[in-house]
Amino acid sequence: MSTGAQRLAHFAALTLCLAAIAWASPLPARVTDRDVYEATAAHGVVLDCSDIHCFRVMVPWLLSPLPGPSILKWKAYAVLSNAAAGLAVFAFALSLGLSRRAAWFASTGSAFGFGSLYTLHDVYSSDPLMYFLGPFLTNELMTGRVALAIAVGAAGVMAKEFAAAPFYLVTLESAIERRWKEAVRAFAAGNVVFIVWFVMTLTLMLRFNYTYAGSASADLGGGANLVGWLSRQSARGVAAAMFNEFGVLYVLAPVGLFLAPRRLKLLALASLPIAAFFGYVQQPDRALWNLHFLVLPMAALVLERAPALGSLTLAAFVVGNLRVGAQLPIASAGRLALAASVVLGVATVVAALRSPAS
Amino acid sequence: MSKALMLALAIETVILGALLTVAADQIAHTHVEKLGGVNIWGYRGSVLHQKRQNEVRIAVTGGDLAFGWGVAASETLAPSVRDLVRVRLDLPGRDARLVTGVTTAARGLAPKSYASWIDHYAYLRPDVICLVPDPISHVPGGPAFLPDRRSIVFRTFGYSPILPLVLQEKSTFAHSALLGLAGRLLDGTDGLLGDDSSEAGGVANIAAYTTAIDAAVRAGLRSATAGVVVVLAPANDNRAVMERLASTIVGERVRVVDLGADPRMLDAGLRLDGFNFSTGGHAVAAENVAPAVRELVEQAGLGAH
Repeated sequence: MSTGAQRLAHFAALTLCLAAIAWASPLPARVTDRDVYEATAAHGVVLDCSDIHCFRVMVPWLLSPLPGPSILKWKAYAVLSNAAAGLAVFAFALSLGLSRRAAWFASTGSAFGFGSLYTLHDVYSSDPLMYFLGPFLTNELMTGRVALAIAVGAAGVMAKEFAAAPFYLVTLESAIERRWKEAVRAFAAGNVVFIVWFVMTLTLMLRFNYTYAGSASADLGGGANLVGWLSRQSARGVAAAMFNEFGVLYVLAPVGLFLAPRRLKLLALASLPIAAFFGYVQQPDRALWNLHFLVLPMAALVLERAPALGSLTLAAFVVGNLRVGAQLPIASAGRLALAASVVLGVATVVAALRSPAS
Repeated sequence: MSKALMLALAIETVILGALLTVAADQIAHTHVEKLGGVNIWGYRGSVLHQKRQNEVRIAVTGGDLAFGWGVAASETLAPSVRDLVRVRLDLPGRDARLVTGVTTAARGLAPKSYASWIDHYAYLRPDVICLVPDPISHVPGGPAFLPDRRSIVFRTFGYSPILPLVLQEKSTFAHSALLGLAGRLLDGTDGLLGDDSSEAGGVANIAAYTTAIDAAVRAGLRSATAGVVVVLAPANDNRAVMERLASTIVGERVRVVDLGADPRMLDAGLRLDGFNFSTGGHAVAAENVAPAVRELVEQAGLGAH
């Protein structure tokens, strides 16, 4: 089977599985950002809008001309984006020098991780596209395809600000390595994307009276979204939300960091200020999943060293996420799976550290 | 490092500098627009939302007196008139009416510029325009920076920069030469291309004065759906002015309010500096103006049903 055919089969398999989950996932029984995205889809621009999601125009603009009910279009978009994210993480892992097995682990964890499955439950969001663009753009920049990265990034930044982050991630990583030419090239490319975002934002503000007044994210001096989120949650709620985000990956990824190739280590290091920034301006329990494409390859390096245990760990991780991410009505099984994934994860770490390959 | 890359970085720096300046200017506006300054489009208070179907919009325009130097945007004539009109329009059991007031006057605006100024803000779609001409004896004073009519940016896009002024004022308080230099640099760059010669000087005689007001009323009638209220300042020679404006003010959609007819308006205690109204002065003036505005609103069928 050729590489193209393999990728197509991989994409199709992920799409089918994610579509089944999206179909089974119930609609959120709370207020979401659906109204804002649907208004943008219906009107193009929502005059005098003070919601931050009004600035994220690309996805509703792309989906609005398509036929069919809104929920169907948005679910399809979330499924395809998350499947593409899985594929992009696979390619990214290979570019980092990981084995195909490790890449498979990382890809599966990406497609069926908490963030991805949560966007199959609450589909009115630009997040699924960002989950794809993170690994895709980073990989394109690492492999020297800067022009393509700029073009995709410039479009992506109109869906969400995070699309500019991979450019500065690669800038920092290259600068740490003192690969100055690459660093400057990625920086200049990132600036183009940032300028596109800036011009679009100012245009919406000046021409259509958009503001960030209704968004805590823009209140950088006042704690942004982080402080508000922390104040609304109990300590237990915060701990549960943060645990659910990465689950067993908290056990696996730190060990994987020591096993990781130098470039992945540097990327992880360079991602810290970006993670801190997005964790501050957004809800950290969801924002940090944007950097899942760095966490999963590290975890995969541990899983591949004990493949049988690793597969079981990943399976339990996925089942747990069906509950906490996709919100499927499997509370008992979900809790059990989450607990099992942590126990299996610890066992995998022990087995991996004892294996000769480590 | 290649020359192309360096050139790209240089161009990006310039573009980002310009964009950041605009963003900083917008932030500066949010700090001053509710106080003594103007918003990004050059009028007082926050930027108005798109006009709604059930909205009655009242604009107060003119020069120094209408601008309301020395009081906050919410203490000027427009919001005071709005409040008085709203209590009579937005009644229980009748269709909800949203009444908004906006001050589109400009500091130092000469009467001859009133008509074009009203045309400039026609996009706000006011229902009633209250034209408050400065008295004939008044010489428009001070530089034309509220809004900044010298600015090429304002003349071209209608965007009124305020960052240069804010930086220069901050430099005075903070004793910062750097802030002052940045403010003067921005002001100079924009002012180099701008021009305020068309606004220089006041009005020499009553004929020119009434011609200017006549033109402004006609401009107001083109913009406002309900009509125009001409508000003559106290201590003016208002009888002579009204005689000369007789043909203009007889129309059904024009009302005249002579503030000089209310003895309270002659109280020096209602002035901040002998000329500009205090908050109380605007409130008393609003009591005189609001009935005329209400009348036009009801006449146009914009009242509550």
